[in-house]
Amino acid sequence: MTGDGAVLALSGVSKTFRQGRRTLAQRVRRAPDDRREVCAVDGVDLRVGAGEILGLVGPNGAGKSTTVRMMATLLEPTRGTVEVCGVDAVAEPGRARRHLGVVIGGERSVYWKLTGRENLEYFAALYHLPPRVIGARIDQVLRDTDLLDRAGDYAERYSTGMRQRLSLARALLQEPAVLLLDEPTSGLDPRSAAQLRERIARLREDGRSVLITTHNMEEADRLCDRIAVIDRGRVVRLGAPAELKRLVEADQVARVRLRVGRSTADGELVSAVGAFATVADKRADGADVDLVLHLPPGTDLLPRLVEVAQRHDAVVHKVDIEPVTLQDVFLSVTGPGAERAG
Amino acid sequence: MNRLEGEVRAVVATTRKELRLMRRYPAEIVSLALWMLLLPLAYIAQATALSSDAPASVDAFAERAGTGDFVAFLYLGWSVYLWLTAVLWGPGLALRQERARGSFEIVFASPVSRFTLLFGGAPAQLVPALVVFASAAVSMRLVFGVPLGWGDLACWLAVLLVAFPALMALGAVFATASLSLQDAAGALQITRGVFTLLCGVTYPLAVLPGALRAVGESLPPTHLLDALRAVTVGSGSLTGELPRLLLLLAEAVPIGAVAMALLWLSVRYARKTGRLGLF
Ligand SMILES: Nc1ncnc2c1ncn2[C@@H]1O[C@H](COP(=O)(O)OP(=O)(O)OP(=O)(O)O)[C@@H](O)[C@H]1O
Ligand SMILES: [Mg+2]
Repeated sequence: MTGDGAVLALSGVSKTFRQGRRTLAQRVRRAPDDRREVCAVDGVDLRVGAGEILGLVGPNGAGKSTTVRMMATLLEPTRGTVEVCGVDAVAEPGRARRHLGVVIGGERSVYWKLTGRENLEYFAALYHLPPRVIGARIDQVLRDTDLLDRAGDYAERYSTGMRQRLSLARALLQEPAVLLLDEPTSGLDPRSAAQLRERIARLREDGRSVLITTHNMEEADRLCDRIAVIDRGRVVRLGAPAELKRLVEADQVARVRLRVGRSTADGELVSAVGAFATVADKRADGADVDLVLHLPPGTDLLPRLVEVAQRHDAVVHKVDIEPVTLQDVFLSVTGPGAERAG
Repeated sequence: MNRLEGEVRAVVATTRKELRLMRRYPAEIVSLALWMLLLPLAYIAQATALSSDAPASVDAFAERAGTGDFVAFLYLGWSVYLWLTAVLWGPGLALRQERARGSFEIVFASPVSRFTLLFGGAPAQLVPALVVFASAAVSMRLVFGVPLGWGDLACWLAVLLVAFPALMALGAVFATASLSLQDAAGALQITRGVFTLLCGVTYPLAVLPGALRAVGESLPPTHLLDALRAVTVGSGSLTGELPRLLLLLAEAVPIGAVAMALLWLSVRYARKTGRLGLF
């Protein structure tokens, strides 16, 4: 274990990729290498404690999968260290793998022409499980993932969600201390996703640590003890869901649609609204302007909004007021407009 | 459980998985058997036409080939060719498919050794070999009445087993190379074209110009083919072929080492560039 009891620890981890093509002719001519260097992960520090579920969220291309691959020993970091249960995963990937259960690529990563049980038998042998425990262990993980009654069917006859569950079952085979799950619930219907979340939550009770990436903010909110928001390769926010939600300095969020007239100046309208609420997002579509507003406590939105609209020759078409969600946090801290604070 | 025992079990499990997949995609094995029956027929017809049953031309062939039985000569040539194709294609394609689908990354994230990763499924490759040679034997015996006995088949089996490690090693070299090749199918065509030309699949190497002949004679598939022809229709015996067979067995070691080195390099490269999970 590392000093502070973290079972998974990343310090200063970066990964740079070369993007673009370098043809054989260029290589032969020893032409200068003009491929772009892309910093997919840029100095990430993360620790996951025993029995903790850490969520990793962020926009497409933020570097989530790259981070997971480095933890899974599938990629070597350009800089920084990765430690799994006290093992240096960069120097000794073989030893680190004994503590890891990995779900990457979800349903594509199972053998379609093998049955669920045969898939697991094969991987149990790759994990060097002792033969006398294999049978019972396979039954156990099949039961945990609700696949026991379909264990004898070819994986090609499973639904997407069942194959996802099969890949989770496989990750559980060697009873790893750390589970790395890259979008385990993508492609699942709401009920299956909820069931899978329950299963993941139960893993925490067994003292296992889980790192999970997801695009579903509600899922991250319900499941994770802490959430790291990652954008352009950096951890931009890290904290418990409730803490993150406090970052949005508002109690409530309003989604507003205004229909503007010919003479309306969008900019002036928005700045007038800005006098009593924070404009978190603005989207214009023809005559419609959609705004996301963060409301300070005690704001009486409707009268002021109607008044401003009238003054700018606009009509209020729709107002939805909701409590702050993680999605609002996500939108306010990621993307081109967000400042890159720690 | 110690490490070695774990690896042995992993090899067994990989082989069992490969056998299951072969059984569930049977078209490949069936087409191998059919090809074995059909491919030599055209060449036998051609040989018959060219020799026009004149003893002089058959004698001329026999002088170079060491046998006048061109039916057996051609069948054995094509069986080695088909086995080689299966060996090059099977494992190489499997690795690429795994990578395309994503299971390669997961297999790689397990603690299993790279040796098992590369050679774990090799025992299953005995199946295509046995299918090819069984089909050859049946065709030779039933269609052309070549007098093959159980003794001959036992000799074949012995030669096959000796040649097996070297062919598996060749297959592994091709498999690792195909991981980083853009066009593995094209590379396969070239490779087997070269083998057809240089290993004497359809003609005795004696007809090749000196330099090509020297290259051809140094290739493991040539040793396999020569040994098979010698024990079946030539004057050779298993004991007489022993030096050649031992050489064939020994060749497996350097070729296998090349395959391991290639795998080591490509995995290192892949862990740097992230190509493990991409096509
Ligand atoms: N093997 C690679 N070679 C070059 N660039 C890569 C490679 N893998 C990822 N990248 C780049 O690294 C960046 C991060 O990619 P990554 O897959 O980690 O994003 P992600 O956060 O998982 O996104 P998503 O939510 O879409 O899954 C992207 O810009 C991507 O183009
Ligand atoms: Mg991803």
